[in-house]
Amino acid sequence: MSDPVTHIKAPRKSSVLSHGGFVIGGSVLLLLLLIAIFAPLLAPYDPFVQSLGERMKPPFWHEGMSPGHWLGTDQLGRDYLSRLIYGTQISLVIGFGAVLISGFIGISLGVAAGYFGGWVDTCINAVITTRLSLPVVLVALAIVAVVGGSLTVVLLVIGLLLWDQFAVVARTATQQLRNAEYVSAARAMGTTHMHVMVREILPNIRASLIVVATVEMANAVLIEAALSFLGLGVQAPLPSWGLMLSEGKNFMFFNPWIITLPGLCLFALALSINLLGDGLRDIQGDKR
Amino acid sequence: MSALLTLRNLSVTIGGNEIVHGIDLDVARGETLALVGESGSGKSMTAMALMGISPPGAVVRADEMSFDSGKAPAALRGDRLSMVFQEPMTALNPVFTIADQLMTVYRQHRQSGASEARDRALHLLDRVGLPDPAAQMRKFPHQLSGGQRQRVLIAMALMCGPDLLIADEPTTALDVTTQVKLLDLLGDLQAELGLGMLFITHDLGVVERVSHRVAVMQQGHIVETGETKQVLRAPAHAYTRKLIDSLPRPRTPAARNSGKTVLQARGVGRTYTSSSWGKTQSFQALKEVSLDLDEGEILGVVGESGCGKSTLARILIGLDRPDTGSVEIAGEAATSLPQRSLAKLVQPVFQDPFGSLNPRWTIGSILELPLKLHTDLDAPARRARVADLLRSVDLPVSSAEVTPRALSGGQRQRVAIARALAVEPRVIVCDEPTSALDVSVQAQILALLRDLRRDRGLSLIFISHDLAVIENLCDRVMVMYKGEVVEEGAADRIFANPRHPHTQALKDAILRVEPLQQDGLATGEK
Repeated sequence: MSDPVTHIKAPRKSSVLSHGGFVIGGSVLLLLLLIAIFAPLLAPYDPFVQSLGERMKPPFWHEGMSPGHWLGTDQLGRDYLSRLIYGTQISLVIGFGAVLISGFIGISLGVAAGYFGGWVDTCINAVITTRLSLPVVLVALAIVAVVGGSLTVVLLVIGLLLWDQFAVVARTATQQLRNAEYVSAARAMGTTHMHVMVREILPNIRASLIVVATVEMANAVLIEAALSFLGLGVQAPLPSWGLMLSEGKNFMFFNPWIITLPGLCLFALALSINLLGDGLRDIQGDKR
Repeated sequence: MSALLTLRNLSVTIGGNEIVHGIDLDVARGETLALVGESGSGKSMTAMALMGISPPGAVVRADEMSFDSGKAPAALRGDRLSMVFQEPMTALNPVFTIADQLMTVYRQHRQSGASEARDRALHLLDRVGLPDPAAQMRKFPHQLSGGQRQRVLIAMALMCGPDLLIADEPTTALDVTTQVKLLDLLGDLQAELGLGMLFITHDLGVVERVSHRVAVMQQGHIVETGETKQVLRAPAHAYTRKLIDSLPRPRTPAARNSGKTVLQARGVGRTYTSSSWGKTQSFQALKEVSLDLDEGEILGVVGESGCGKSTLARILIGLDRPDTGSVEIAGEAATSLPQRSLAKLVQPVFQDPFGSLNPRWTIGSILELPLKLHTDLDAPARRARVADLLRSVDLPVSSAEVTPRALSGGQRQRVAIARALAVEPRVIVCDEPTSALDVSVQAQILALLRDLRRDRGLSLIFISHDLAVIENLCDRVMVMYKGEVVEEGAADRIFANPRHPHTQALKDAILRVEPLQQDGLATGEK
């Protein structure tokens, strides 16, 4: 009789909370998420209400601030703090929405190409190559210019353009796992291709895909800001940070805070997403 | 004999855990000391500490670590002491030619001209037995076979005329017949050049073949050292005795087969073709292979890497289709069955215990999957069945809750066997299921397979490159060579009287340790 096995090692504790970048990025992103969700409760004013008598009031650290407008007002007298708070909603909707759409497209194509290989791979690779040869901002500009800008259009355009990294990473990672013995074991058990791709392969390439997702999310937020800055993204009077930069650019020499504040917000969001992504990569790298 | 390497009270600590606990070693000039132990025993850590190439974060302490009663050995690495690694493909840089790699070592330590280095490289390649050294010098590592690459590595280690050679499992990645040739080569070189050699291995057969003295390591301690013959014949320590007991030994087959054929393959052939830039290359992996497996029988399939045995396994379990021939399992034509139906007849157990279980799943869900696919059991019934399966492979029921990461190699292989048993197939195809395991764990898995055969009447096809394992487990043996079956028959007949030269070569390559004097009946069965 073989020896019975009595000792099972305890699983190792994860080092999630000891990673500085992950904690800082995660906290800032969580904070921004909470701000976006509770914007109606947090914003002191309606972000759309104009008050021409209160135009261009400076924020609290300048003399002559208007009581109640902590971060001042813009050229139409709208409360800047409220607009920044509502702007969080737009950036996060774009960020998460675009990543959901592009992630779904890219991961489906990439996993299918990597798993089936052969002509499926050849075809999907051609599509990926085509997409990689398109300059994202220019194509987005052209489409928005033709179709007309709105939050939905911008979200769809960015989502439909940013899937390439997902596809490339998913394809390569799947190719590495395609011949793993646990995949063979699942096939030998009579599982469907769908089961193998979704249940056996996908959980094992999740780590790299999450990192891609964070990079692409920051990317989507910045592209939305760029499109809005150029006047082809989210349309006024929606309080997009990019649009606020654009509207403020004429006043920036006398009132620099009017572009510094939305710029700082964009910077904080993009940085927190990237820190989170790096943290996730490091933490998951540990476990390999 | 003068002491070449002296090591007193060496300990290695990584991240607060002491891996090697104060060991003493001596290697004399002209002597081979084997350091033997199972994975995790600290033997490679010891070698790396000697060479001064410990992984980052490792703290090495020793009362004395000296070479030829002088400098620290790490200062002389590459020059007076050199190392041969386990994996010849990764130890050679794929983008440089053999000549580049051999000559660089020499020129770095000897400040010599290119022609002198070239002459020495040619001489050594010839000495390690590579045909046409001048032609080999121009090749890249991928153009050589595994055995040839390992010969190049040995030549590289000898380039500067070292006094001490550290060989870390140098033959583990090679075929058995190649292994014997290389061991003999290392032995000859060692005697001829008067080298001291520290030979690290997990294989007691190798120890017996190459070493004068042996040190047995267990969990960072040296538990026994002495003359090789003395230690292997009359081990003083219980652990050494356990290692020797675990070696697979010949065994009279149980001969329990009923005579009813459960699996029948006829004329199975498989050719792989690949085309690039319009050139089509084809490789015939299997040629006209036929086999029969009776109910309750264990059929061994043995051969070297590339002989087609894994292709045969993939065809039998339905992961690949043969170009010609047919496979019948329990009266059904396996090659035309949908995978889902075939899965109920035949299940695999693969080689790599770290690769055959999905690392993201718990053991419970891994074992439940076949039950979900092939039975109508509800969730509580499935869990009860999973518990039964775990018990049948001697694992605690609580292991259903953990992921494979929490299990050792042997425990994972038990899970893989339980998974294969879940659908109660007629045949289980094991592709090298023990070759990644330590000998003591291997002995346990072999015993488990035997128990399962006895209790459940399982029919097994057991694929291995290791004749000793086959001899220990199988009733009948099929020897494959270059895609063909060259010999087949009852295990005892094949081993007593091999007819084909390749079978003879495989048999000669078994490195045996003679049974213990006091306990001649030790057989690895507990």
